[in-house]
Amino acid sequence: MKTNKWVASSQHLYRWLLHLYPKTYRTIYEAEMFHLFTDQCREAYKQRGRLGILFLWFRTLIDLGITVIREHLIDPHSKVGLLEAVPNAPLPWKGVLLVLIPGLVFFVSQVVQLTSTKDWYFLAFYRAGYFLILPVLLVWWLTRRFPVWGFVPLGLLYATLLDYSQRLQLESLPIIGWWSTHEALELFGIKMRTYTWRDLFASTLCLILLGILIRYGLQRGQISRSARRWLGMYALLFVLRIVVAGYHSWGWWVFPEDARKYLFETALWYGYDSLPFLLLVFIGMLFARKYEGFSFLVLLGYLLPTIIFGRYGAWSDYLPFYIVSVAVLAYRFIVALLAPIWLVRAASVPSRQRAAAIPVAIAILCQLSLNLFHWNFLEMTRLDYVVNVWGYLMTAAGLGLAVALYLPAEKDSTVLSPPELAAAAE
Amino acid sequence: MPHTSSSLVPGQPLTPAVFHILLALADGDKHGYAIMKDVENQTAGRLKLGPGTLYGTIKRLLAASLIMEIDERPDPELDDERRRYYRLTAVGRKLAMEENERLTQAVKAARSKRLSDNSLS
Repeated sequence: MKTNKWVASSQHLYRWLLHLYPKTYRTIYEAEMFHLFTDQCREAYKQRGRLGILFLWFRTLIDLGITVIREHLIDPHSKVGLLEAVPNAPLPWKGVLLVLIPGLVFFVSQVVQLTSTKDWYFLAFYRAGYFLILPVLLVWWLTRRFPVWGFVPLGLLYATLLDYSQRLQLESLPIIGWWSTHEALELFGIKMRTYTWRDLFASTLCLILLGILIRYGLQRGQISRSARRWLGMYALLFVLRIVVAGYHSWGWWVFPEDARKYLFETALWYGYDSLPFLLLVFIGMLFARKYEGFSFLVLLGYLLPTIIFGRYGAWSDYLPFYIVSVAVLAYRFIVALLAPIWLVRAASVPSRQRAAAIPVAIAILCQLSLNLFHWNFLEMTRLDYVVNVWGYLMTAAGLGLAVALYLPAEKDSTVLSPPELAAAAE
Repeated sequence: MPHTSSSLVPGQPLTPAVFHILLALADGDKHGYAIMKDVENQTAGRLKLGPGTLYGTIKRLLAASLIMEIDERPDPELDDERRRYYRLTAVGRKLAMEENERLTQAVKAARSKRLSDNSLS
């Protein structure tokens, strides 16, 4: 049969598009689908000419878009990388590309923010978390599996919601607004202020959830000796930060009778600042049983929108813009692109531990160095430095805890897994 | 997750694509294009299956043993050997009949509530 030019072009294009289907599916149905499409093309052209071909393409592209996604989601071979990950094996590149999408959004918007006056970064910073989680939830709902590339959006959403809750104007809310601003309310003899209530509620909630998760982790043998050491380190840094900051900020040596109040408020303030991150580390532990080191991606998602604006950062008033730009881009490149790729492509536990620790440590140093310049120009005291650097030390301790929880170097002899516990009981 | 479509959950209504493909094969073996044309005729052009939907559904019907691929050719002289032919299995026929029964009941219920064109006249 003589082939029309339009039909022939459509055939070429469709043959090329068929490559979008999973390989296993293509092996069986590629030729059949191609023949069927050819028949459709010929008939469409015969009936309505070029317009018929255009209408056919309109229908076919919709069909192709939906079925390509569906076949990838249910293909047993495609699941590795797109939905699941083999522990201690590199994630296939198709999965890596999906993991990188949130990081690319942040990296590109950061470049735009540094090179123009466009505020894309702020759009990414405040809104990306809400949108990037949608495909993850959709896939989770359709397949009943949490996709491995959903960890970064999950961490990002957590950070976005946390930021939102910390900015929330409680006074504007009904009932809570009145309750939180009612000056007569006291707790343990301490007059409560609006944000003391907020900090108290958030810190208490975090502590309760942390308690539940730690108990769960202990029962399932997931908290190794090394993880306990890191947790102890985090707790120690937390307590010391409260004591030092409380002493420094409020100067209770002047009014010893107010010491209790200042300490209480400082503890709540830093509790709301530090405990949510620790809670996220333990939420990641829930995924670690199945996904092991890939769970670390949750924390990379959390670190993604860290406030490091560049053009609008306060340090840009004191530092040459190119230095700020280099530091900001280095930070963003490491957290958004380098660390995720290194982490998911690492093939063993030790290399994955390095992939989790080294890039993030460098990224934190990037941000710390910028902040040190900034604080230097603010003429801060030595104690100010200590209190501020403390926050970074706590983040580092939290990340160390995550590495110990998600990527245990070797099986801890003091921790028994549930089957071993059952055997020991017998 | 089992490799069957959510549209083939036992006891659940079939999707239009699944039902009409089973229906297309009820009166004889057909290849993909013939199934597609048959579905179009059954539904007066309302349901036009694209190649992806058609073969994706066929794949799931084969996995659930509702249809089978056959080697026989109805007329080897006229037919393209590259085409694959499909046949309805006994299980597939039973499922199509159950779905037909369910739809008949639904139409009956709709008529009793004066929701169909016939009941209005």
